Amino acid sequence: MLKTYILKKLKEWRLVYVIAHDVRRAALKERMLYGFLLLALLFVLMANVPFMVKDPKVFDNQPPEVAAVQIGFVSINIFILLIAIFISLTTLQNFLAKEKLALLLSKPVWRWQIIEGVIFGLYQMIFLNWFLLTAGVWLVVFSQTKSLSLYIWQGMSVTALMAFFYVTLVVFFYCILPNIMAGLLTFFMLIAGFGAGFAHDMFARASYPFFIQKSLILGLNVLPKINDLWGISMRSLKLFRINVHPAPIILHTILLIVVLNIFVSFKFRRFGRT
Amino acid sequence: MKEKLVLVKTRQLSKQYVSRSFLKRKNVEAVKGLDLEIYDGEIFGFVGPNGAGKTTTLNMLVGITQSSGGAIEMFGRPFKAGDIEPLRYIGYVPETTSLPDYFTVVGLLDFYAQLFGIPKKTKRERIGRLLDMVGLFDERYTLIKNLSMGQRRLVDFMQALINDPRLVLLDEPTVYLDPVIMERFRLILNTLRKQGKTILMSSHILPEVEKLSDRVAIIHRGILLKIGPKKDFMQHGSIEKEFLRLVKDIHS
Repeated sequence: MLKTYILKKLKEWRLVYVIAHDVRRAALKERMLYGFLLLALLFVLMANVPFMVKDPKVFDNQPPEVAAVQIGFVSINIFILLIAIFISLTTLQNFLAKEKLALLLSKPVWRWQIIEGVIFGLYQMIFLNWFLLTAGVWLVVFSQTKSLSLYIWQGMSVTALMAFFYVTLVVFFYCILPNIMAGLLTFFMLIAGFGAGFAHDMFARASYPFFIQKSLILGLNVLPKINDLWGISMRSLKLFRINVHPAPIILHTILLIVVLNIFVSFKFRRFGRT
Repeated sequence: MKEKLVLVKTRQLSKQYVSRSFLKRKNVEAVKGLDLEIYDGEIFGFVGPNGAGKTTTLNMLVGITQSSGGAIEMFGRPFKAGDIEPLRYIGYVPETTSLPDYFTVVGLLDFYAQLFGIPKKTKRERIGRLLDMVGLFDERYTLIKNLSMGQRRLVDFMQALINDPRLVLLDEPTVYLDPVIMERFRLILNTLRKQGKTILMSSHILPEVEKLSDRVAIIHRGILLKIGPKKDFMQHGSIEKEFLRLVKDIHS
């Protein structure tokens, strides 16, 4: 009984994999992606500069590998998030175009399999890009210091998690709103995530009525903790010594990703069998 | 006499759309009380002018669009949008070709075969056979985006046949086809007929339907005007003449 159930589920998820594979392929055909990647790699290669500059004052007397990781960290964070939002949007528009979707819906595929396939395909694309850019930073540091510097991979993995979250968020907004709004709202969430910590302190101190104050704080607690995630990443990358507990914040982000995934799987009406 | 097996049956099938414009909301009835019966092994011509409700009906039969009323029976069982099991035995060619253009012909067929869970060996054999049948063997590693519109349409047919379906739904299959590919299309349809497949072909190109169909239905503004064997439509010389007569009757 259990074996049959597991086999059935495996078969269902195999189809998700097939669709994800196709979506990844579609995403990697986007020309805009290569524009972003090229720019990102140029920025990443700038991590070589601290090793070439003789005067340590140029980089605030930081050791060159720290300055190099800092440049890499900023470049990867900017570009991977841009890729997560823009390439996800264009891939969604192409893949979930009415006619293409109609053809897919005429096959024995559940609609949750289609949307999960899209999300996992975009995750794969993000992972590949993140791997490429992180490998770039790591190679620069490794070639100059001859040290394995595995902390770079550990620190940058938080960025990958953030990118996965933004991909899920784009798909979530795309399923409930017009296309352009999906991108704008994801940007808004990104900015709101930065301000969440400050707003939290402000609402906690202000004298709002009890119910409003609690609701606002609850709402802010649901937002991803972008500042904290960056803090965790920077601490792992030995850039700053910030006192943040990584486990709850990482679990919070993973939970948000899972909840959004479940939501879009159920709410796949806009593209469904209407 | 042996009774014919009914493969697809619709009873009072209807579809209403809500057309929204600025400050206006209008109900549009695309299909009204459609009663169809399609028998096993026949080629069924479903004809009507543009906007008659042909595509909507086909979309309801394949579960892409949900009906507003009535019932569908597919392979003797009730069918509604969201049932995926009957789709294993249906092949569907949509009105507009919208194949992912980053695939090669073989890659695309492989993708759709995987959606049906077809084993590797069967998949390889079937893809080879289909390529031979439609005459695209030499283009098997060509990217879809580099194919002509006619060739893309043939790839559309192949994706619809990859699961060796019992029922094939063709929505305006002769669009984009030049005379050479049209001839090939006729041969394909005859091969499918010999294989005992049931084909529902919607079209507004009436001479094609006349050449290929066993039975015909005429739909106009969502209403079924006439259904029956092809000979019933030939009393005035051609399906086209009968069609124009029926439409004139409605307008008068």
